[in-house]
Amino acid sequence: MLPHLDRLSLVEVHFPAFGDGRGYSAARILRESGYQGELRAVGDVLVDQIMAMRRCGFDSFHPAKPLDDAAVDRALHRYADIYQKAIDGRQPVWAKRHPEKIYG
Amino acid sequence: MYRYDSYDQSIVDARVEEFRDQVQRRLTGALTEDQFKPLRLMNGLYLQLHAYMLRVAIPYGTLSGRQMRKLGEIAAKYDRGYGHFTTRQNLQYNWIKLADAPDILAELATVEMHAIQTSGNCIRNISSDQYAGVSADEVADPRPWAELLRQWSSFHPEFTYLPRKFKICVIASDDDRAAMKLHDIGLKLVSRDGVIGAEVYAGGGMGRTPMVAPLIRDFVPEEEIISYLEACLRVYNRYGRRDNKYKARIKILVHEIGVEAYKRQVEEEFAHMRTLGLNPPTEELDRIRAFFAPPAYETGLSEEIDRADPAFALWVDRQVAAHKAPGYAIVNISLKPLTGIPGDASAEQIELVAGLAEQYSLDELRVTHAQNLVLPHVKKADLHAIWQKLEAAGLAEANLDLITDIIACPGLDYCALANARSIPLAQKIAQRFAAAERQAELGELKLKISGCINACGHHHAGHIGILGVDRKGVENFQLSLGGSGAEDTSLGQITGPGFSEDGVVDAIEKVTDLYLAQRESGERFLDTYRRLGMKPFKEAIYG
Amino acid sequence: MKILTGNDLVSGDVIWWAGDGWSRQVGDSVDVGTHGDDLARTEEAALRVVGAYVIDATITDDGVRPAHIKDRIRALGPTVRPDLTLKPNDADAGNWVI
Repeated sequence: MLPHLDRLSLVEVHFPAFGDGRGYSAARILRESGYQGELRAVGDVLVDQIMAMRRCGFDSFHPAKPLDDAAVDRALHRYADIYQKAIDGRQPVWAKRHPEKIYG
Repeated sequence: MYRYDSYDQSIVDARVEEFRDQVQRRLTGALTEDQFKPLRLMNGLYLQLHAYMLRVAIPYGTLSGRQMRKLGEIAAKYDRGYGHFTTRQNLQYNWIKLADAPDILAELATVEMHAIQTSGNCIRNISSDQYAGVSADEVADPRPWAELLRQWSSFHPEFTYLPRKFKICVIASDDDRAAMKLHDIGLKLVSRDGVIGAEVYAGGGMGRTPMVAPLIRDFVPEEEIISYLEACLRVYNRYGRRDNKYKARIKILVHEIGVEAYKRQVEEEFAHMRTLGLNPPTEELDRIRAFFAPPAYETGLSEEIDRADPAFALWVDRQVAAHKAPGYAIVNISLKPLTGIPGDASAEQIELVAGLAEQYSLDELRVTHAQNLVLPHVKKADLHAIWQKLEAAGLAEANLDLITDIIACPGLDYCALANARSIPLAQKIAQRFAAAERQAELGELKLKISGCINACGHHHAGHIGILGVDRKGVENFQLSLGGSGAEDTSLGQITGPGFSEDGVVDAIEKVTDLYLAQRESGERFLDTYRRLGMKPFKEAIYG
Repeated sequence: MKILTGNDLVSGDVIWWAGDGWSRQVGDSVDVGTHGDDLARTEEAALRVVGAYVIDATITDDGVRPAHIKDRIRALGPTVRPDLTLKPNDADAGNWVI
């Protein structure tokens, strides 16, 4: 699939069970390979996982059981700081700690 | 020691509030137990045999007097007056109320502690050498690396729902005091042309399929360790088995596809990962390293130890290890009193040790994978005073690495997974071999007991290992010989049919008698076993 | 007989179904016959119990005795800490679990 990413506008990644975390890697690989289209998490998607999914590059969600919007909003804004560089462009704390360094 | 900055504190505080919200949703019924269970496990809260159990992380086994004191306070205020130090440098409380758990985490956060990822299929507490920073033979202090990895692994967005739990260990000495090769990933710091990097071992572990981790890379420079580990974890997350929890650890993946294939896949992924800017700048490791700079040791101290009191001299010979700074020593505090529970400490004992750390050990102490405690920076001149205080608190047992220094999991007395009780057996063995002369005669002999196949008591790595099994509803014990969790890592072999509790104590006596009769000069039990093989031991037991 | 056990949702205490509610004493257990699983679901939904499950037990001279050692230890408490069991003054209480 990777050679044709520029011709795709939607990729759905299925989570058969919330504990099956392969989709997080799949999402990152797609984004790291330049995929710019919609990346949708489908299946057993829980509110407590939304932040990690967003960080791995998902930008839409189609959970088997609908989520409460307010709870999703709380989950997405709970952590003001994060430790790792991922796909979402947020600055990890190590970058904030060393502002003299320039990160691309 | 590492201290949180406002970023670290904000993350831990946010976690407390997130968990408070999750507990609230559970208590009001918004979450079912099926939904709540993975959330509470990710924060170390189990439903155990008698109550909820909370596992608190002691990152790489280092803590301050203030942190230790808080652990004691929590034991007294929220639990039943004690805690249990585990083989993964964690502390477990056995009698926690669900509604109290958020308050306990809030109290822990005030002393820069947490229970983050002490369970669940994620990267667990990073473990390390209890002598880190004070042993003379280390290449560098491994704890700055461990702290870097603690931060990297906390809420890692890609690696929080792995096929199975994932344990990482960092050491920096040739002497392995942390069972490094029995971790999912073991890092050993080495120096190459003056540059510090890591040898990486992957796919070790205990459980029902024990394996010693093979070397997968002989050098990863420190500035690339994060991207290399991301590559290791990504290959595992994508291809580790998810169809069978007993085959889901990375050791099975490495074994099934082969070390070379796993290495190749990791290298391919690493070539990609290193282009993504995932590694913190070297300044970040330098920043962390500054917290672990050697303390201001006093100079001109006396090397003299007054050995007039024979009980004190015995304790010094057994429990005190060489420190790299002149006039200082490392004190090992045994949590293995002969009639006690391995790894348990009362709130009062925890408080006392916290005070000893503050008064005598530059406000620092360590927790070991053998379920003991360490005061890492003690002046030799203070040893006698410390010993007296330990003795008064029942903490002056002199049995480090001897047959009564038993590692034991909580077993069926506490654990919902266990098949047999580990602690009563540990106590019976300790009483059989209680005589100090007998223990000294047997020398180094690492005896480890697990109450089930999950091997929390490290029985595979015991010179003598014991595994509790359920035989038609009756507790039964299998004996194994020849394991080691040290630099000469090996896995024990089962002797044969299992025993009753008393039967296994008798069998241990037979193998130790054979060792005493057959050993050659300088041989430990393990050395004699390795030279002679299983056959004569088997004959001694069953013949 | 079949009896129903679990843990109190809030305190985590080991509890036993006593017919009209939950008890901390295994001796109060009643035979749930074939209704155990239904009861467990109802009581879990009512947030009174967590991890409820049905076990075999017998009536002996000492009262209700769970068939498996694990449940006998749950009923008593940790045998290595008699002071923390439900029978702190009975030094031989641990023998009951074997």
